[in-house]
Amino acid sequence: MKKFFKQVVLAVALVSASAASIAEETVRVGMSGSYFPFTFKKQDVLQGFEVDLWKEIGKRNGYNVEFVTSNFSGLFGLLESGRIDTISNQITMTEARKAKYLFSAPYVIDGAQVVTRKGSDIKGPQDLSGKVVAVNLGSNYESLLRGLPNSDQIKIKTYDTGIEQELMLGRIDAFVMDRISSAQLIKEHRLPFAHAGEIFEKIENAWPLLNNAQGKALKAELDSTLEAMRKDGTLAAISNKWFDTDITAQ
Amino acid sequence: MIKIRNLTKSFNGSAPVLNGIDLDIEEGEIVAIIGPSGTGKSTLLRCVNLLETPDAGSISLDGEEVPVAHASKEQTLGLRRKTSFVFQNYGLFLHKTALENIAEGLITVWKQPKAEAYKKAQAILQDIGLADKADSYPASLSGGQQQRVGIGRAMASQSKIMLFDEPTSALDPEWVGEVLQLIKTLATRKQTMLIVTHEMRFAREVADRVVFMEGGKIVEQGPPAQLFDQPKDPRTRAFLQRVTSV
Amino acid sequence: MGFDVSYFLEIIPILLGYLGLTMKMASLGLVIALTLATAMAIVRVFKVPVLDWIVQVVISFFRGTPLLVQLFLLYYGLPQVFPVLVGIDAFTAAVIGLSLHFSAYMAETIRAAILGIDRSQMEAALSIGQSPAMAMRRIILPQAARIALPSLMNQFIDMIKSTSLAFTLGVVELMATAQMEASSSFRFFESFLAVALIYWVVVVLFTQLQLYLEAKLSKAYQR
Repeated sequence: MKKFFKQVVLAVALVSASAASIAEETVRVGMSGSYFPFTFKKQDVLQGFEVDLWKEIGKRNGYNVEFVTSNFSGLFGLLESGRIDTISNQITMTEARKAKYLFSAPYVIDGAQVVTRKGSDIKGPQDLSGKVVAVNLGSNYESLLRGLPNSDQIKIKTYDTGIEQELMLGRIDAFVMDRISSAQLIKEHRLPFAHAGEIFEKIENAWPLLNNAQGKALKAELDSTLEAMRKDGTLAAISNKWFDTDITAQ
Repeated sequence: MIKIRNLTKSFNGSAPVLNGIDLDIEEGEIVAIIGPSGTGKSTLLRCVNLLETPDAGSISLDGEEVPVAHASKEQTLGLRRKTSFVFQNYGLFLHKTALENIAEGLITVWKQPKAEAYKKAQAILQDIGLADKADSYPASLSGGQQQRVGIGRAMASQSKIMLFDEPTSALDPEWVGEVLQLIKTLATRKQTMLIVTHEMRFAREVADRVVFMEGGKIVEQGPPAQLFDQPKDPRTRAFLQRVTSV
Repeated sequence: MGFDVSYFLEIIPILLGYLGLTMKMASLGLVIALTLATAMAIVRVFKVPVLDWIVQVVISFFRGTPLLVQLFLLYYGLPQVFPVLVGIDAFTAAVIGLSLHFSAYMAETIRAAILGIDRSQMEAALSIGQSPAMAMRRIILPQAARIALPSLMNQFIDMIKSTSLAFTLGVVELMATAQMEASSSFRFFESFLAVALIYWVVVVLFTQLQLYLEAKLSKAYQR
């Protein structure tokens, strides 16, 4: 009996040792799973632009990519507490965030877009005075809105989910979302919405990383992989698959 | 067999309810305590098994002296296991049947196998005339039946001394007789008993000795015939006159 | 857009796939919460020195702050101060958070139930020679359980529904799935109605269980 146990212990030790040596590096990527078409679930399958990007990055670098879905408001907590390595959820490189986190090179260039119901008298950010404007909880659009010259006359509401529903129901006059996904949203679901004016802040979205040795190493790998994907057209191809346009062009 | 010495108790620093009680009870002796309400009779009883913690005094039971004001956990448990208590309001476990009420102590305290405990409990039920009520819950029993089960539960522990705290005063007159009858039966078996009661006729009939208490003190004690017919103390006389004239 | 019946029927089995996880969280939470709550209630009833004071502070804190805040503190806050706690996974953290939060409410319910048991029950138990702990277990708690049952069931139902907050820690449970599916289909009404119905049916089933238990426990009290 004792001998048997010895053998089992030995076998387990051998297996785990060999597993460790051939194990791929695991990269844990956090996302909301609720941001169409970047990250979402359909028929219980997680998919989207971000998911495709990371599958490609994983393939090129031999990572075992592990997707972690959480409410948006929990994502930065997951990063801070070291439970994920980065967030892939169209995170904008703001000054405040740049002060705290390391960022990869931007992989999406976009802008804040005011979205209204069709036929609305709102023609751009300048018309938002006295209106109820919604943003998603935890997103940076609220601070963008607060930077507008007429910001003190805008009533800002934040939502965790269902912002489109609110506009449809008329509970809000407009919402601010990035141009690309809002265009996608309107087109895909024939929502009676329209873009109001041009984007009013250019935004660059990237992957935030913890500012430590591990984060720096990952940043170096991500940046070179991104550059390679940009050069060989893979990045544009993935963008076109989801948006019919290249949202990654600099 | 039991020696109570200098038992003293007051509640929240007011005048003492028990003021230095000394009382000895012999094996097989039946002692009744009588006296006006609020005179410490029930408190005395509750101090004997430490449901109340006395301020001073000692109790020896079977030669083991317990300083009751600061008895250890073991001494407290020991004293309670050598005594049993019959409550004015029966105190039956409401979620247990008559049988389970009687068997509870046998199983949990005396660690008897369940089957054996239930057999004994059933025999006690037979003894108290409630064999057919084994599976009845207290809520479905009459007051008299409940108190008989209460006495049965006290009988089960085979204690040195049974303490009765006004066992019939919560009962409707209809049920008093059957409970007193059961106590009388126990008396014929020479079960040591200390009984606080308002039933003077019962005390005279069943007790070997009657103790008259007033103001937290034992005023007078003696055989029933002497205490009831030739009381020495004027306070005893006054009390007896009052209760017999009612 | 109208009500999309086929989408509604399609999403229900997907959601049901996550009901197990939700119920696992809630039932583990219930077991831990009841254990903690009973212990805390007993400390309160016996006024155990020092412990009683600590338990009062614990109960006050967990009743006085939102569950979401507690979950954030537990999962994101504490690991910054105590790095070893990073090892706790999201599911465990959610269960611990739910347990602590609801144990505070349950402790007060159980304490009130214990205090509602007539003093004579404890005295009778002591008089037959039971220790206070044994009397608590054999005589007081079974009777208190009957009194506490309706409130405890309410708190358990609340706990089932509160598991939806676990998505904030990254636990993909019933509500998270509804939310993510709705985000791609934009069928919010269908998704959320489906998830609402699932919660409702579960709660109705537990309410039936409550009625059954109540009838069973009150058998002893019928004349």
